[in-house]
Amino acid sequence: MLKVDSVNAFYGDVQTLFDVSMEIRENEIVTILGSNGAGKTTLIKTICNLLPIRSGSIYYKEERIDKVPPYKRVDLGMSLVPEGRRLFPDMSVMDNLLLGAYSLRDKKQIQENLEWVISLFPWLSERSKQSAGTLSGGEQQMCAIARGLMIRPQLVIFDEPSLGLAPVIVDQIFETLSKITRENNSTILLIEQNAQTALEISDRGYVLENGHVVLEGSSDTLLGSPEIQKSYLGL
Amino acid sequence: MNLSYWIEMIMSGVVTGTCYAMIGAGLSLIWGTLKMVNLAHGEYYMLGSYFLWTLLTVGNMPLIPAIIISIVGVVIFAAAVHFAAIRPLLRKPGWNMSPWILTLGLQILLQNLALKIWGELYRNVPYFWNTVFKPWNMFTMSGQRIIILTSTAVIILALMTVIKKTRLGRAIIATSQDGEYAMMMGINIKQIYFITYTISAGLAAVAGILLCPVYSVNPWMGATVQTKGLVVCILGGLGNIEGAIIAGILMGIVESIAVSAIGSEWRDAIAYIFLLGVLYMKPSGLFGKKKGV
Amino acid sequence: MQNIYKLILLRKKQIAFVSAAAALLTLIAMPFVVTKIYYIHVLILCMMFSCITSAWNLIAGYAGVFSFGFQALFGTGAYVSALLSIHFGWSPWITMWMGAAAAMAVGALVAIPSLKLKELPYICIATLCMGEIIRLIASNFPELTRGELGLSQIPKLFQDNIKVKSYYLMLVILVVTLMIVVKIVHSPMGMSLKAMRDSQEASESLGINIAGTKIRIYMVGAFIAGFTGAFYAHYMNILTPTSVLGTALMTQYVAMCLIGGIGTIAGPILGSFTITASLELLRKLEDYRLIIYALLIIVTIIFLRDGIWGTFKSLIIARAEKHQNRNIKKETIV
Repeated sequence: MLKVDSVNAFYGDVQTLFDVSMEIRENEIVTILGSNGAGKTTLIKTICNLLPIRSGSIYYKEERIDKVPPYKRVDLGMSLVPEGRRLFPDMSVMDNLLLGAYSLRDKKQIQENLEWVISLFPWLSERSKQSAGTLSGGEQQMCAIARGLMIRPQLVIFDEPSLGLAPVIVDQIFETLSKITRENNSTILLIEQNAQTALEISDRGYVLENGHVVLEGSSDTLLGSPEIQKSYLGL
Repeated sequence: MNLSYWIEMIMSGVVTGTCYAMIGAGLSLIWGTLKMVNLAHGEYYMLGSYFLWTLLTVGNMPLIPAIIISIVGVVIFAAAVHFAAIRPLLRKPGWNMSPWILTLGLQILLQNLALKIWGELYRNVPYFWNTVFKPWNMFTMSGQRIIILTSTAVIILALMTVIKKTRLGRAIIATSQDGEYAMMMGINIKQIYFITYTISAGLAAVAGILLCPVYSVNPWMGATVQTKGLVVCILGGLGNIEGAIIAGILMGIVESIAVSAIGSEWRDAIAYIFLLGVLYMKPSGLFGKKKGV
Repeated sequence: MQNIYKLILLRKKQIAFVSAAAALLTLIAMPFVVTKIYYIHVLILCMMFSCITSAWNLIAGYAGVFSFGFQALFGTGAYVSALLSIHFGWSPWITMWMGAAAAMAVGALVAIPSLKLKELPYICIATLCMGEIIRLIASNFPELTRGELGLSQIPKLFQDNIKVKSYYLMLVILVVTLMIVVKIVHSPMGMSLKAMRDSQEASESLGINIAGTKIRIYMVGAFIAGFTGAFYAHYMNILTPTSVLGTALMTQYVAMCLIGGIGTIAGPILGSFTITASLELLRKLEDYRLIIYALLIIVTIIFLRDGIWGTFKSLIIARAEKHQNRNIKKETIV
């Protein structure tokens, strides 16, 4: 579904991605692991065309999208739940959700999606008028996920959803992620530092280090590999 | 100084203040979404007045069509400026002083073009409604001021409804709070920039049209109103439309009182001093900035 | 090709020195070559603007204090010097220094509160306001300054009215100004300025007293502007608030600095000379002067942000560095 082919990216004169290639197939959950500064967020930015790539190409459903402007991603069925949540802090929960559905015109469809999203996170309906900036960290993350799902996307990119959250909430969130893939037939690209939980729910994974893909394989292989165990699982 | 004098003074301040509020709200919108201080904003106010004067005097048009065409004219002109100057600049990010310098250049250009085209003589536009009212026999209020007050009330209400309740309004707020991520929601922020810029210019033009019978038309009227717009914008809190409204009315009243106390040649100085005061004492506005702006 | 770039990088100090000397000699020789007094007047204006723009470039381009009320310092110098010489009968040669000192004081008054503001647009707005307030003060106290009617019959510097003498005086002022600017840019203060330009947080952590440095630079710039203003007062013999304190002046120095190249030493001078000379010589366009300045500002900021000299400089450096190995440090070029 999503294919990244030999992508090289720069911030000014500094190269951040070196010949990165990866593939995410339909209905898969793929994890990208890497420590801070490994290039994970840069990769996301290039996939969303928030950062132009110097060379290489990115394909979505067989079509090149690396030159397509970012705001057309949702039309393609791609959604991003960004690092740090990035909810619109002075807008209500409901307004944030409605913004998630900005690209949809059909009021009925928006309503249906809203109901689906609330079914995933029932507490959203009681707090719909609350200002998003006043939610707790875990609630914000769930709200951000809900917002990202409002278009019932085919590909969802989750950038470090567990960042700064308590383990209990993290489990909840990852459970929801699996649920989404099943219920909605979505494909998920998951960026994480929390390797254990991420690999447990995914099918395959890639490891990024300093802008290079250093390891790839099925989740079981990765979980079992000694490098992963040493660097990311602290074993 | 009796009661009716005070009431008239305050009413006059409120009326002008609502116009300042519209101008400030527009500035606030542009500052919030495009992240630039539009120094040339006052010039759209001026152009609104000049278009109206020209259509009425030279074009001999009846009032209402002239008003409509003037507003549309300024909006179209602002759109042209947006495509010719603002867009190209936005395509070349990097230096944080460039928007300021660009809008400064635009301000000087428009002011002096107006001076060249219409000359330095102060022009007059007749009152739209030539009656005077005496509410409760306590004070006088001209028909013009009533028109201004009702128009601004309607427009401001409409603006707030759009911002708070419509899809477009949400998109504008989203763009001003997190432009990059707003794109990922499907918002075409270039379009939002365009819409915000032109609507704000339109608001300024309306203010100019409403106020020109009261204050007369001249090439420098834009510069004086710009300062007041900045006061309103900052005092109300960047990106905060309701704040801008309250700040606008406040600005109007303060100016009204100060001018009657000190004299009209200090009118501009009062605005400058007020602006300095706001910058130092309440830079985040009376109500606090909206985060992300 | 490679050798030319190597030559430039290695010998840039010598190249700069030689070009400056050549320019200076040209300026010294001008009055002998040029016969029409009017052209001498134009050159005086060019040099005057060069001083103003160099000073503004120092505070804005190097120290990053984008003050849009800088014209008030020029005007303060002018008015103070003029008024002192008129009312007390002191010689302009003395009051010029006092005017400059007054400008310096006003500069401090403007700079110290401005730097308390955190955001750049706020500093711009504040300085603009202060500049305008000063203009309005001069305008609204006609008992003191004769307001817009004009303060006239300001004592001259040279009783015999020979313009060429004023020319050489202005040249001296310009040379001194440039020496001050070069000294500051290449001094430890200047190095810390460069650091400030590149990163506020980094230089704060290094312990450089940012606000103090900025204020000191501002006062130097204010002094230069004030002194130049005082010269202008005694040269033109008439002052109005609009001409020496108004925003038209601001437009001019911003445009000249921008077109020449903000943040360079030669840029403001280049901009001042080209624009002043072109506009004075195209007298027919007098009415359109400000329109032209505005268009120049707009076009330059969009397309040629570093100005003529700035763009030229970065092109040469970029080319030269490509041909060099990475070990050569970047130094400040004129």
